[in-house]
Amino acid sequence: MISSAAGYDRSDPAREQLFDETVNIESHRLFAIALSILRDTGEAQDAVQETLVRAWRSQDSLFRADSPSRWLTRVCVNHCISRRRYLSSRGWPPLELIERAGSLRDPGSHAQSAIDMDRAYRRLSLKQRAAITLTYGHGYSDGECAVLMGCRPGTVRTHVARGLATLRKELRDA
Amino acid sequence: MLDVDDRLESDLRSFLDAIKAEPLPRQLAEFRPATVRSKNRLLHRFVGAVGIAVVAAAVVLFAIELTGHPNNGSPIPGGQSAATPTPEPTPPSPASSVAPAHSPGTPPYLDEGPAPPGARVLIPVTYGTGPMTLPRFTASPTDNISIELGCLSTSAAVSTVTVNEYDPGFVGDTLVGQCFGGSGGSGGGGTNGLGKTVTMKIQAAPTEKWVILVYVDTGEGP
Repeated sequence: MISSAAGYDRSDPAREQLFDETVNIESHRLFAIALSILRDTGEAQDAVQETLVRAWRSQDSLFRADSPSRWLTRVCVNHCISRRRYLSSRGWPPLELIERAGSLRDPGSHAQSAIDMDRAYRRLSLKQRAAITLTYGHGYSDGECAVLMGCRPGTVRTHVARGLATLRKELRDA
Repeated sequence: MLDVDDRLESDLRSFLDAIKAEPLPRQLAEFRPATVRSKNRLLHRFVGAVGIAVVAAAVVLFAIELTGHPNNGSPIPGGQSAATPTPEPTPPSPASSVAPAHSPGTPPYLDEGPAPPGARVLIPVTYGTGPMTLPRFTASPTDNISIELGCLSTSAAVSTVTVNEYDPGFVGDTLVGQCFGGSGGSGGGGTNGLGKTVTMKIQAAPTEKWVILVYVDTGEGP
């Protein structure tokens, strides 16, 4: 219900219920995307929480979007990239820790190929991870990825191509 | 989608599917953004409170500092320093050296004002601060010596300027100036009873400003 021309009434119970339903539906998918890009459960959790907080504060924008799901995905992806870049610029996490995290997986629960893939995947840049995750993991087209990542479709294809080349090389050397 | 070999694509999809199969953390499942308060808003409030406290402290300090100072008069216009120059002993000058106009921040010239025309100035207009020995002069026992003195107290307490208190050569008023929380002054006079050289001494508090003029009124003016 639109309470005024300025925007939605957040205290409206119907509006709050709709928001909760949207969150319940989208949270798991957003978490998977964030985890794929960040490869850290805690950071992925923070990224999703931050996305949901932004969504709560921008309900006008969220529910007026053509697709609230796509709106949330775009916010989450961009937050993951910018947040990770912020941490990386301060030297966190160190490269040795990334390599150890990839090698200390429990072999009993993951196949060796998955371990190798994880280690290789962590070598990709954030944008390469995002492009590959959205394309191969969630079925978005190049054009949709471009909208979500805020770049051109050609740039998305470049990220995917370079990411795959890195994966191929890393897996071959493994 | 780009061409990619089957094995790599298969491994990649399996890898991403495994990530998608990760359970949603309980904290995230129970997370409700409506209960989260803005960090920025809290930060802004904190910064605002600190700013107000700093301004208030500055105002209080300024007020304390202001009340700690007595009323020293208004600043001198034209960039003239408020500090009174220390007078150098000077020889008696002719009567034409009249007193300069009184300016704010310096002691007023009281009573008679500048030496009357035709007067013989023994000590020209001299500004000073605190105790000081004035230039010596000689006058005859019949000379009517006039002393004009102004002072500017820098404290709320009564302060006096005493001249010639200990010189036996001078016979006349000794208490010639009194200041009370601001400007004040008086005049005095007498004769050089012994006809000898007279030495006048200013007895004043160290921070007390004063001005003095000593002359002999010859009565030859127009």
